[in-house]
Amino acid sequence: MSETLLEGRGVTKRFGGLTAVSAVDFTVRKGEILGVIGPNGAGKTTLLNCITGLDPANEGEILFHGERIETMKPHSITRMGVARTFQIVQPFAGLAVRENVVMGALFGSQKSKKEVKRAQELADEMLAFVGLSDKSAQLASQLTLAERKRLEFAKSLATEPEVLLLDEVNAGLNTTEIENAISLIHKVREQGVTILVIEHLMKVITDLSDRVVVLHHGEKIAEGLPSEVTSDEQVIKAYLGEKYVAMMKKLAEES
Amino acid sequence: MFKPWAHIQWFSMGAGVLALILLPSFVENDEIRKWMDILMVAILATSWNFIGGLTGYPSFAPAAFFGLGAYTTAILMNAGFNFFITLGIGACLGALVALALGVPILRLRGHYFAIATFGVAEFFRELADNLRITGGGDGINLPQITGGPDYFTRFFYFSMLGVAVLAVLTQYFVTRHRLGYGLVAIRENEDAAAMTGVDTTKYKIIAFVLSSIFPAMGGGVYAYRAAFLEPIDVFDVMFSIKAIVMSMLGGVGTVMGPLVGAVMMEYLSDYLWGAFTEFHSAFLGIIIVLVVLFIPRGLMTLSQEVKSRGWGSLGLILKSNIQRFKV
Repeated sequence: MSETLLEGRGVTKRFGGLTAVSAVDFTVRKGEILGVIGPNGAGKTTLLNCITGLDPANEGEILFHGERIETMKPHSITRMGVARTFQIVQPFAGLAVRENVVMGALFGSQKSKKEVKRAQELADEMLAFVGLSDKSAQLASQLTLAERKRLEFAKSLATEPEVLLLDEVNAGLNTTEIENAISLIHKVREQGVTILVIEHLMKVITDLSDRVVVLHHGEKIAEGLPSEVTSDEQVIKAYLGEKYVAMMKKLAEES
Repeated sequence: MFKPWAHIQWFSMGAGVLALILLPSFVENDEIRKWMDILMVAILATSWNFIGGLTGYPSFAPAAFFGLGAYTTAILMNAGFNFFITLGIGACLGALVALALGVPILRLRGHYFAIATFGVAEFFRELADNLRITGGGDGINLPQITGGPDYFTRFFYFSMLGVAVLAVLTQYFVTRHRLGYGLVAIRENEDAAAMTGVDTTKYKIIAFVLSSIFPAMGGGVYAYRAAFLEPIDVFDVMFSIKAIVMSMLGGVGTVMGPLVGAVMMEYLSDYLWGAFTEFHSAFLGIIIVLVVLFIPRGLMTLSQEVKSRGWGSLGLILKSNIQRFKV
């Protein structure tokens, strides 16, 4: 088994009386694609916000390379090598596509401190990688949603992350666009980047992930290989409801 | 290989500075004084651009730093300090105040930040009004400069020019450095900037400090020239408003924009004052509204757009600018 890159121990996040993430343990191993699934409101995005320091956890530890990061500021965590994309894309709307990516290259990983010119070169490489080279002079606000999602990719990859956290990259995309996004995620992994991907589409996550963690009402209810998880009764209950499980049981008994 | 286009900005900047250096050799003292006023507001506008234009935080603090620098020079020159040393001390004091204030008030965004910075200027005015060391509401006298009008007009003109060149050069280097990129990232989307690794707190404070240094120095030159200060004169909110309007007219976030805006605005207000003494403020107000409506990103940005899309597109650009307001 390969080494643990990112680890959470008892991560808990409360908003007033609501516990959005409740004592969740997770490990992300170097080189893998870990899927985090769960119905809407399960606490997936909140968990990402805890990891990236945007909305720090109330309790628990988060370790990156064994170093505790749960109290660090977002920019420090990014510089250590943890990048993310947002479900609702967050481009620098008034800037050109290329400049958006330059920001990531300039301020991301501090392993190689870059000046503007080097950052521009890296940005051009990243735009070629995600297939946005021909749009590099356009304003970010002029892109289609699918293109903006790819821009998010390029921007976070330009920070030269070791682990990339993807928040519902497929939300709002059509079937072809989803296929393109999935092949892009595979391409990123081939570059040696570890990936944690959040999804609520079961089909996408089973195609994509090596391992899956299932969240429901902020708690981890299952973990394992995609095939194990999808046949887990608790998971099916969470996704399709008690009635569906009862109906399936009845059908099985009848036949 | 020598690339002439890469150097054109340096060339035009050099030519501009040279013209301003030679100006006093060719014009009357009246005209020199007018350009001194232009340079003074250009300093304020260029400095505002660090925090307001690049970083997107609408500061009303220029008057606070201007007044702070003016009073620093007044008090220290009365204590026997050399004029240029008082400018340096004023700059340091402005930077320290910006640093101390920046930590709490840069947590605020938008309107709240604007009101807080406005409050800062008012606070300093009240302070100057009530302290003994500032002479309170009675004002404070400064040592008179010796020498004839030809000499001191040039002395103050070149002092102002020196501060202005320093401000524009600083701005030029900042916009080409990662610092400038970071500030623009904060303006465009502060959360996303943090997620791409920008230390937003640190960068905002640096921008605020940069925006305080040059107004404080300009205030020092103004004080020595005026030879008498009253709180209401230097902690005047009009200084802040002028800085903002000139940046907008010239082009928010561009290096030369605030400078161009300052020159145009001063000439325009001069002309309007001569032509319609009674109503010149009203005409100026109408022009400000038109600028905000049709060229909200300023003349420099407009000229870049026209350059890349051709003169034929001018109408289209203006039309699309005003269409932002249609719901």
